Amino acid sequence: MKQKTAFAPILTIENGITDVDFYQKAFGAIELRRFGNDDGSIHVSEMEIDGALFHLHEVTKIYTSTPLRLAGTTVTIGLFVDDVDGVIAAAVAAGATLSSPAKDYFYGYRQGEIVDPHGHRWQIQKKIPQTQRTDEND
Amino acid sequence: MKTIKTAFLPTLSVRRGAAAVEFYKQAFNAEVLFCMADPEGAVVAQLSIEGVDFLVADESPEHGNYSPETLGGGTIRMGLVVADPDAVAAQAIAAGANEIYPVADQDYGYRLGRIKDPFGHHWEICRPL
Repeated sequence: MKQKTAFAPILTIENGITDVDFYQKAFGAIELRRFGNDDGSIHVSEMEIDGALFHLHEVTKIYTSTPLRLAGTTVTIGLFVDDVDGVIAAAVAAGATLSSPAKDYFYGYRQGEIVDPHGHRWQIQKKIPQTQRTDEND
Repeated sequence: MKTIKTAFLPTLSVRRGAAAVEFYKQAFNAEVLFCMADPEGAVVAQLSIEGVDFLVADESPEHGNYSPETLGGGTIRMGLVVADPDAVAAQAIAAGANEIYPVADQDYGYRLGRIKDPFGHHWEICRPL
């Protein structure tokens, strides 16, 4: 069977992290596998959100940067969901910071953005009908 | 009831966005679904690799989005699951990516190699074993 093409982003986290419950609480993620260190901290956590696979990976010698160390991010994870407002509310309740409240945009998306406790940016979104561009929906 | 399939749509922040779009076309046979440029030449483009979409955008520090070149590193690596990781990695390297480590069978159950693209983003090209 041909392997279906897919993205499986790898989010860098600090060394010494033991608690990644945020992703379960915010997005309903399921942890499939965890590779731990001797001190109980996470080396790699393999998770999926409704079939969409991603990994949390601690800092290593060849990949040293995290959003907290760099005070910025180089990739934003867009996540299509059914209930944009519900997922954002759950994420904020689980410890995320709301960086951009959910809003309908003219180009046909309802979107809002949160920053998770490890500094990663998630754009929570769903498609909606496109509309005329105005000051309110730009 | 859920009406849409949960899916990722990553946005890669880069410098030289227009050149990055050209690179991803050559490296991954990406199809450009749209590409918008502002008067200064900064682009936002949606690309598709065999039906899997991502966005490429010139960095926008005022929104917290920086290129790996600006920050001196990246915060997320792009895992790309494909049918033939050897061929995909080879094509990306031929297009100008640097090999971090070669595609090989990894003990965690993937055939996987890592490259760094000319815009600083790391890609792990893989398939489950």
